[in-house]
Amino acid sequence: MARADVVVQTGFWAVFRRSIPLLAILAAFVWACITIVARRTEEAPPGAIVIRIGHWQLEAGIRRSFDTLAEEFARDPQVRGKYGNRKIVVIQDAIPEGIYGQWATSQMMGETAPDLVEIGQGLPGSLWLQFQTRYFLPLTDIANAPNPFNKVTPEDHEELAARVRGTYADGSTVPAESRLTAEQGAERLAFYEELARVPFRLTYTDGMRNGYQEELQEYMRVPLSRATIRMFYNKDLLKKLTNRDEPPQDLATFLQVCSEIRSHRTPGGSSYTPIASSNYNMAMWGYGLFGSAGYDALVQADFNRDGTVGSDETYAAFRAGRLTFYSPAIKARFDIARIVSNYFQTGFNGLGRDDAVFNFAQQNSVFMTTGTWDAQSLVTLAEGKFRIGAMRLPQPAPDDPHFGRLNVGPILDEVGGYGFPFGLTRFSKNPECAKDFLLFLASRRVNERMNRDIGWIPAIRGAAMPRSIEIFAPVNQGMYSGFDFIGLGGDTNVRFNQLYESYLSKPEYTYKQFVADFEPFYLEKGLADWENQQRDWRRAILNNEKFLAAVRGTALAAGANADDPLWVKYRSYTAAHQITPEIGRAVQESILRNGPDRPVGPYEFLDAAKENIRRQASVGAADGRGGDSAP
Amino acid sequence: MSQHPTHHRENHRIAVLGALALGFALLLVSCKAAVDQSEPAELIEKGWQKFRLDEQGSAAHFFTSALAKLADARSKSPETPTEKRLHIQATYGLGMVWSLGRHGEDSAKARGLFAEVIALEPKGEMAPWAALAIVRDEHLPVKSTDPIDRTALREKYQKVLTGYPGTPAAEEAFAFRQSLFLQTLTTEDARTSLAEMTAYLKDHPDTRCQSALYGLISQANRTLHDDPAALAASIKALETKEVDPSNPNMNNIVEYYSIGLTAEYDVGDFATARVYFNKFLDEYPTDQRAFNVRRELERMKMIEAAHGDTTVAGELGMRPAGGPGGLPEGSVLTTAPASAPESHKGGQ
Repeated sequence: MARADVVVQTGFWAVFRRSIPLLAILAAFVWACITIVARRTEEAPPGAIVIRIGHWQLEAGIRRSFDTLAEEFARDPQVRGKYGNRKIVVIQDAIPEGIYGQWATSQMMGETAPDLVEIGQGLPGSLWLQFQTRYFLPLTDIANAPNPFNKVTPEDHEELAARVRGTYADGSTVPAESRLTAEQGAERLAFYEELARVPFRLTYTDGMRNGYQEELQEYMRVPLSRATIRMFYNKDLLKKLTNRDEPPQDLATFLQVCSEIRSHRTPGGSSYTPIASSNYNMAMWGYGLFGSAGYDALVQADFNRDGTVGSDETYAAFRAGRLTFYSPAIKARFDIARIVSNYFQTGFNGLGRDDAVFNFAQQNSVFMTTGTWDAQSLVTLAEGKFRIGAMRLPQPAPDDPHFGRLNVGPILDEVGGYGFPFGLTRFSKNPECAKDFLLFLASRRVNERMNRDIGWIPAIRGAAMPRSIEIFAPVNQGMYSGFDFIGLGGDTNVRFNQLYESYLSKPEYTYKQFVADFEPFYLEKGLADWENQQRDWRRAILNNEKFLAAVRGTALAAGANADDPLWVKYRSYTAAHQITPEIGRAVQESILRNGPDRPVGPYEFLDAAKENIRRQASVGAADGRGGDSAP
Repeated sequence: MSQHPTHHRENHRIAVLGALALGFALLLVSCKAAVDQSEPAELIEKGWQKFRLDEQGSAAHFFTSALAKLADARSKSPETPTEKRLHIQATYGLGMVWSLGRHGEDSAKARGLFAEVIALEPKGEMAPWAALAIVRDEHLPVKSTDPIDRTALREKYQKVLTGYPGTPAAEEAFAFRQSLFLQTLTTEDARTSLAEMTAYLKDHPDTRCQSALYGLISQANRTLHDDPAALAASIKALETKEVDPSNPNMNNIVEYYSIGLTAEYDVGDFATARVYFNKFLDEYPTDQRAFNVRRELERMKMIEAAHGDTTVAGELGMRPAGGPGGLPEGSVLTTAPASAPESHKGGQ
């Protein structure tokens, strides 16, 4: 076999030429190192306290607001008093939503996560729960202590005095809506003092429930804002196409307006799409208008009488025949979904959030339903092109012949609508300072200012909303969904979504067909999904038991007495999570397999109750008082 | 055989790297050893911290380290009462790692450790908890599909109750025993359980499990269709409920709401219903259920105005299924005038 001789050239230039690629890589590496070090030094001089904060809010307003507030935080006298003259630097890692889950995972695994991380995007809830267990520090200590940044300041006194006086210190007049009487001023001051005194958690409008992680029995997050769902509209286009300044609030007239909009042609010659939508926006409609149409189902399906109906109770109600697809609330929900989606763009279910925004920004659509978190972005997109308005979702009027009787109140805004929640990671090099920064952001004054700057709703009591976004104010009393199909998961979910998509997008696919295709499947195959759900629940029992063992072990090791908070927590958690829920599950299983043993729905009178009511009424009528006594 | 100089340099590098790796490993070991220098009480505390974070490997390490230190101390001098207490606690902690942390991996080991706790101090504070832990280990299925032998488990909980009367673990065992009775939803088991709980509450009026037991009594009465008794027990459960003030989700929202509904719809006792609905509105006016509560109050007023005629309840819109509502089939697209040129969608 012939052997090729390889001639290796030697000498400086030959070696140099061969090494050029390697040298280039080396040079790039050194350059990158120098750049990173230089940038880091520039951002955070040696000796500075650096707080890194990771979030997915790419909106310019939010990043700018964080920067401004970080500077204010560093200058705050309390902060300077605590950390001396050390420079405090807050560095933001703003990560796009699409990759936030991967970013968070790699940061946690690599133990390089920022001090503060926004929680909740890009990963399933169960994974965020695991992350919080392993990589985040509990914030219960700060939740239970007063927020030092809520201390009443001379500026607060001066501001209240000015509002009572009617003129600010600079001589300008206080707007009429901000004026206070002397009594109101004193009340406001007392309220500010109360906020400064009470535990931080009680300064939240919801008692900081959304920062609490039930599975860990700890406060793990500090939410900074609230959000609601609203319909945004192009004011100029609405005027141009319908000669209206405001869209109608009742559903039937709103749909007429949509129809009118669609009859017009865009400059390109195609019809206007009344409502810009996508798979993402559909969920907003689902929660808001469509869901609330199903409120009445509560009467038949809230078996455990906790005021909400989960997918398991919905399934039990259907299996038991207490609900059918022709129950008024159920049918109304699907009818309204179909009527409204008739005015979405074709193929909306296959489109994403950006497609809907593009359609709206291009002025091909008049309306778009989304969360108030998108408001600022929409305003920025529309700047110089058109004016934007916002409204609550339209609802059937009381005299609506088809849906009026089901509409018994406003649409409830999402209860868990507290957002922008940050947790403190175990990797923080300055956990104390990071906690202080969170407390600073969640103090009344700062939370009000921050949310005013970014156009969101404050999460802290007493933090006022600007008048311009009053329409975003949460409605906390109203109708909400009385059933849930998709929460059952598994095959039920897949089948439902397939058929529902056809139902919404194919005019020839009737409700009757939808029911014929889905109902038998749901009743038969749903059982397997329900059983899976029960298995998940059973696994949760083991996790509860672990949690309880840790509390018990700690209490025993500490020699705590029976009244110690650890034992109180232990007993109350055991009763609520381990002893009685098993019976509730057994009751639900019995309903599925044997039907309910209560002859009427949970919000309907038993015969014995009716008898008692009649008896009391007759006794009351006989002795001239109202029938209002116990049996 | 002579080596090429390049190979020599290579070997040298490997040796240096090896030495560095060895040094690093020693450093790690010394760090671990440093952790083990903690006192047993501290190690046990750390063990529970790790257990709570579900880091079972670390938890086992700390409990085992505590046991090793205590064993070392025992080999030098007789065990003091404090050391014995720590010995028992570390054993119990390790038992929990094998029982719950690694559930189903080696139940025999877990139960063996709990048995050791009992043997070390049969009359001590930890013995009842260890005895309860053995039954809980059996009760919690390894696979969620595993069947549960309710009769056998009830007997085992009973043994904890009779073996360690008056202890918190025995009270918990009693509550679990009653829960097992009531899960069958049979009138026979409900009667048995009701009798046992009534007697227990008479003998132990100050039990810390009062609220849980009244909750169970309410369920037993529901199974027996004695609605007024179920309502009374629910109210007692609420009155004796221990609330963890640090948990914002631990409140009386659902209790007020469901007691109100039970009084209204099951018993027809509007006075009691009003008491709890009004408490609800006073304490939780912004909760989402407050909307329903206001409607229930309105409904009762309307029924009373109609001299007890409950059929007027429908006036408020909450009606039984099957009544009018929604569109007639086929009319779905005709609600709003469709003046668009397309039969269905807009032109996007």
